[in-house]
Amino acid sequence: MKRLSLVILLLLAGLSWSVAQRTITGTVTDEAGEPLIGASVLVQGTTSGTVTDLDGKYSINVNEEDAVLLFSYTGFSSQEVTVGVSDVIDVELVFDVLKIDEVVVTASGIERQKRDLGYSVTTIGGDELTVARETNIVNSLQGKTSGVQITNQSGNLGGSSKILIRGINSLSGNNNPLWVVDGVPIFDSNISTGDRISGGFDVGNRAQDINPDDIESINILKGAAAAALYGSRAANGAIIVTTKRGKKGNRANITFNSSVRFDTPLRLPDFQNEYAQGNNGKLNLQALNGWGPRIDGRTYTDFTGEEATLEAFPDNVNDFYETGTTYITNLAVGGGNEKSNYRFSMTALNRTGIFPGSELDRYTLSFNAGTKFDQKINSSFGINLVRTTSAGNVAQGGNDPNVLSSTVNSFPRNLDISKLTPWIDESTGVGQQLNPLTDMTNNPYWIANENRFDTEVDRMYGNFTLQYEPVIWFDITSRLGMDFVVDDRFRSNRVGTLGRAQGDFTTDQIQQRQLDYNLLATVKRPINDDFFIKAIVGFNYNNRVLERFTNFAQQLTVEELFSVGNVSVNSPINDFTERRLFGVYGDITLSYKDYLSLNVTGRNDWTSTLPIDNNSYFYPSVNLSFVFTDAFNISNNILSYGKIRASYAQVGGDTNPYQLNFLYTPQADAFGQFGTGTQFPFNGTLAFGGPATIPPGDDLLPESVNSVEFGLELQFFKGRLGLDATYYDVQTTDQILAIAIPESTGFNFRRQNVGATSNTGIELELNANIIRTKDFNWNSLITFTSNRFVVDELAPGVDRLIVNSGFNSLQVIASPGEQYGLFGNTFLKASSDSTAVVVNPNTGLRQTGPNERLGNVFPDFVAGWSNNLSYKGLSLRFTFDWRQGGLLYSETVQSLRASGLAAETAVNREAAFVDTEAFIENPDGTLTPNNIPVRAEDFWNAYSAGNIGEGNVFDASFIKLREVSISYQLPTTWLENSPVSGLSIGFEARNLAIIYSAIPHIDPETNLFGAANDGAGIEFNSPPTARSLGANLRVTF
Amino acid sequence: MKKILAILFLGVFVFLSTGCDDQLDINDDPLAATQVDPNLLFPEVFVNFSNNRTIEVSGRIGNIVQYYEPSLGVFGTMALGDLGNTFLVGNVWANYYSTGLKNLVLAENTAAEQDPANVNVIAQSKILQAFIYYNITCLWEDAPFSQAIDLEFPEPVFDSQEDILRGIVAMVDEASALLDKNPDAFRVDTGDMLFGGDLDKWEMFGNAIKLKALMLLANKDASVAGQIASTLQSPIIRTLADEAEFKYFDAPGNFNPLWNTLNLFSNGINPGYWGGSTTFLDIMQGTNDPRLSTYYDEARNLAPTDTLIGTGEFGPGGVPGSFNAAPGNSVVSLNILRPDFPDRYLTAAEVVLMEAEAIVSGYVSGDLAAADAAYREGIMLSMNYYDGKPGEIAQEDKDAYLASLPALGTLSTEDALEAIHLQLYVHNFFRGVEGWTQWRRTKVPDLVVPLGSQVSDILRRFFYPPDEKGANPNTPADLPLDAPMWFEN
Repeated sequence: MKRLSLVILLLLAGLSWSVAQRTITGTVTDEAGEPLIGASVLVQGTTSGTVTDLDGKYSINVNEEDAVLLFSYTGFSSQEVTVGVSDVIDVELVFDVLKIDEVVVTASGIERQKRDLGYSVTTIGGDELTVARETNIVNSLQGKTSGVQITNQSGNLGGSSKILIRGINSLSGNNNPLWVVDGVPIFDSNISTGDRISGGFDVGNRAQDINPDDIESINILKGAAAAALYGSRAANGAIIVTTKRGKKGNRANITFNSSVRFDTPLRLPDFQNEYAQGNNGKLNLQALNGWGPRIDGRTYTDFTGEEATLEAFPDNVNDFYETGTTYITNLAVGGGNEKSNYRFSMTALNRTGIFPGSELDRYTLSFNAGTKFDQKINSSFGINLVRTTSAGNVAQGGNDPNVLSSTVNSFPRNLDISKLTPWIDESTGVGQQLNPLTDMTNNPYWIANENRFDTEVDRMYGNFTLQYEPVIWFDITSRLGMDFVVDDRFRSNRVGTLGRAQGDFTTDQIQQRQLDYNLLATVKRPINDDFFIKAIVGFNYNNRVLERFTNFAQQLTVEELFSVGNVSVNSPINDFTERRLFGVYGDITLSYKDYLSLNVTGRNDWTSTLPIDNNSYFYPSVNLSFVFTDAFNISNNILSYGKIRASYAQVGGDTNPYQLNFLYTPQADAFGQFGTGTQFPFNGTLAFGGPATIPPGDDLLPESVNSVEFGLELQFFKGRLGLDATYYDVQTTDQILAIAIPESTGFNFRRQNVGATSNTGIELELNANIIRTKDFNWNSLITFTSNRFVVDELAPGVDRLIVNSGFNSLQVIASPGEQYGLFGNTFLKASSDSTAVVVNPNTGLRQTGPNERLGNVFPDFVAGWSNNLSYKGLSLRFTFDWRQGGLLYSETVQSLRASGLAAETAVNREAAFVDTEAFIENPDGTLTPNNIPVRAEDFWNAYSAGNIGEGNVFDASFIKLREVSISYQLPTTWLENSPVSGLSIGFEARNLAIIYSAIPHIDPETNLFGAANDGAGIEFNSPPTARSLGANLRVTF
Repeated sequence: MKKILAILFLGVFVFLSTGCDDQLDINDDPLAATQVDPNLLFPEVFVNFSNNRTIEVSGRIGNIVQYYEPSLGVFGTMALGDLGNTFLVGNVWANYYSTGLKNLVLAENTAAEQDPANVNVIAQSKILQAFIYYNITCLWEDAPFSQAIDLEFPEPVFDSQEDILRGIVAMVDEASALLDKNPDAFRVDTGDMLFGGDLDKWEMFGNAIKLKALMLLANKDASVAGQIASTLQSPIIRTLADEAEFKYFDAPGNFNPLWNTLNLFSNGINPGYWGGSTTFLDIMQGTNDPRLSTYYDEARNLAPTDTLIGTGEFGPGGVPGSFNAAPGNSVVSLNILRPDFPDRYLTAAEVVLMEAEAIVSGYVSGDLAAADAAYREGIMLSMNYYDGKPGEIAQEDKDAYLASLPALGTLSTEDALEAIHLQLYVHNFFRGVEGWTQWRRTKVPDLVVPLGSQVSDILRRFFYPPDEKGANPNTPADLPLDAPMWFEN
């Protein structure tokens, strides 16, 4: 009965709104009197609103005399005006650098005023992302937000980028933030084909499928508090992407945005150019190194068998690389009216890389539309179709002939690369490799052109939303989201490839599906004059499936015929996992007088991956925001705004599927050192193996992340200087972890609840409007993040956990009381003095010592500085990135030095010298300074030995000029008589320069392990990263 | 609208109240089993164990006893006492305990739970376990044994080498007693990659393992002589047909990993990765041993396409520790480094040569003539192995070689033993653990400390892997890598 009366009440209310309407018109301008186009005008407390036209004019119907109009425009302070007797209301909005009234999108598409939030959120506008557009969205966040550490993983086209918010929460390796597009979670997986250590291909993290041109804004919710409503997966923070929608107006809004850029290697090694290939000063064409004779112009028989002059080719490595090209073209059409909106966008991204034959093409179609129907129903949907194809990615790692960057870096200085062409002779009908570098090393053009690595990713993600809003203060929203990724990969080694002489190919098919459904009801209404309440209850269903089928086919009968019937051996592997989760959540926000806001949330999840009887867990959060300047009426010329915030949040977490039972798994292969492993069936015999990990049993508990956060937001000088500071302390307990147990038990790990880790850190964002005149404007943003990650506790009796294992005894290890450490072999030290390196008393050369901690893999801090300068229509933007601290082991540097190709190895080449930083340990234990002269070849082979980590480890600090763009917006007066309403042209550059780095020869920003893994601190023959320069044209109609 | 809402809410309610647990009961891995036939577990053990014994052990520690001199550090810095080889020792340990022994114990436990118990599976499992423990104690001396692979002991204690060796003997005895040779009795057959389920051969293999353990014990405790004698009386590997070997195949995916290393990195030739060692070449050339051209290729220039020099000269070998493969050095032959060269677990020649030694040492009765016969039989078995295979030795060369060897009866006991020990050394060429173990037992031949060694004597042991040390507080402190093992004299 009550429900019926509510409906009647609504009907009455609807009727009452239809009376006494009047039309208000006016113009919205900025302080200089320039009209603001597209400013929003809203009748407060209703959904009735409009936007200003090209002249800044608007017209809106209101019902009552005391209706309040809310005027807002991005980058300006909003203004409320009560409608009086006048039908004309002109408004001047004040420019606001700091966007105090910014609306941020938090969990489940819930919009909240930023001033009400009790936790830290960074918002990045879509315009920031389309300046010098990145092809991987993750990279475009670099330097623009605090609390976030982004590491580009490789120089491959479409390579992955790792994003970590507030450090590592879980030792189990699930630390990537959750990506949410228009209220729906999507995959950001990074699945490598092949082993990363022995020649894997990094195919990129899938968040790169999000098209920057379609992004309205990105909100980065850093803490667990912000994410409590998204469930476990958002414990590591969430990146909430809101896509563009059609704007109201009678005209279609048509945008054309096109960029052309050219890529060249950012940094190539510094080579010596004095010595040829060989050993001990003697020429040896089978050695790809620089320990041969002085390049003296003698005549010799080169690797192709021709007579040649021994001369240096200082640019042979640089000349091998090509100039990559990037074309990004976007056309978007959008529009809408009071009731409906519509936007369609298509984007073509076409790239060629710096490696010959490498290319990537991505086509994105994005369509969204929404309509408000008469029955108080809103409905909208959005669909994104993304097709990405790539070819010619190069492998990284070792033990594989396709690790092209290590081959290229090993070019002897006397190599004339013009002689590498041609690389194939097909005249006999079967391709024969020509001009290989040595009898064991392939011609690099053969690798680039004949051995393929192709990918084809088709993805569809989208959402469908139905909203019922019977009254202005209550609505019910149902949102269905889905994400399908079909990722097909193919790699081949052509018959005749040295090291894979019989030819082989791998097909790798990965399919991921995600279905996410939310149903939520929202109430928002004032309780009385001072209190406002907003409450949400909701239900969430999430289901994720991964299916994979891989076949490795060896020994081709007919070359280049990639049929599984054409090979001697097929070794297929398949994989399947499915997980499901239900959640019920609530979120209540209570505001008092617009300056005090309390938010309480709670969520209960039921997951398929925990024991059935223990699969439910609840987690709450509470946060408080207090704008003390408003509360105490502080308003002066110095302090204009001040807010403090505090938050406590807990997030529970489940584990991966199929971890609970004692399972025997069919084996596909058996390990063999140096990549020599064998396959099953072995001569027809199948094999199963027991688990490496002892399952946890039924008493497994969910993980728990507890975070406390305090923040301070201040604005000075009427908003021209702003500070946003955050301190946080995140404790993770009851981690579900496979802890190492003695292998002599027969098992490697036992999965159980163990361990505690903590992340404490400071985040600062300093925003300044340094210069502001009518014509000239300079905004600057400095971000700073310092996170300290400490493993507080592992299981009782466990003092180390191998997070990742590299090669040559390099390991990333977690141990109690320490940050993640890079462990490797050290130089042998004196028994009496652990700091003194001792040489072998017979040879004067350094020796291998024990495996020890070399240092931290994570930086002490990361900082960014981005600037936006504008003078009339001209604007300049640039961003610097600074990473301080942490270590990087570089295999590239190791090889360059041990092989005598690095510039420093030519120093003192022909005279013997003494390693004066080392000592000789006498039989009685005393030390005398080393005085044994050694040759450069012996010195570098010992100093940069592959199995001594210490010699090849460097401070990973760097400062980079990340992006620069200059654009010019043509004055609208020039375009008056054309259909064009706006036109801008610009110059843009990405990854422009390494300002500072302690690591020689390579770009310090790299990592072997890829985006889905927490290993860090190891570089292993990564392809060089590229510097990108180009131009941009943007036209709106 | 209300209806739609009601349906939506009802749907949620149904999910939560009734369907929830059913909906969430999807956590059974569709691609894994909860029980398997032991025939499926044994292959996992054999293949992993042999992959490890070939490329990880024989290919990387054979230079400790100077069978070869590698050109690359990864193939031999362990011989220098290089503590950087954490992955080497870690891979071996993990392979033997958490792949080999684990799956054998799982198979054994499953067999014991059957009613009646599958006694043959238990026996086969125990014999193979005994062999793996023999490998373990020969590498590390003290190691988990009595408490290993038993979840009742999360931190297994390390047993002494003596206890492990005696335990191996007892384990084989227990297994032999269990064997049920009734042809219908269940056994591991399709998964038996050594003998195809032939239980007689398993018994012989077990006794041969027992003999080798007893010979190590005898170095310290002559009272095991009686056990040696009875073991030699029992069914034991004495013919090539009865040898325990794991077969590789000349088929991609089934290659011997030693050859596959050459296949992957140097197009199937040995560019000096395993080159000649002066120590071994000097012995072979000094005795005109015909096995030299089975084991080694004649000297060649470095370019792999160069044809053999063909002079019959094997050229200089690398000095131990020189990591030298200079042009003109000989290299280990593809007779040994071939795709289908098996991993030889236990050979007839070993057993028969040990029998000769047991006679000379007086562990078993017999005169020097009997010892000499066994000595010559052992050498002949060692050479005959290559009959019909690459590296086959001509009968006249075999005969001439045997004729050139003095009869044991003409030698002092000491010299007779040395002659037998030298034959064990030559026979065990490129068999990592076997060659190293017999050298440590016999100290024949004299070896030189390699250049650049970080220890002052020939390497005697592996250090314990950091993973075990980190997780097991019972791990003893490492001894110096040149500290002799318990069984050594």
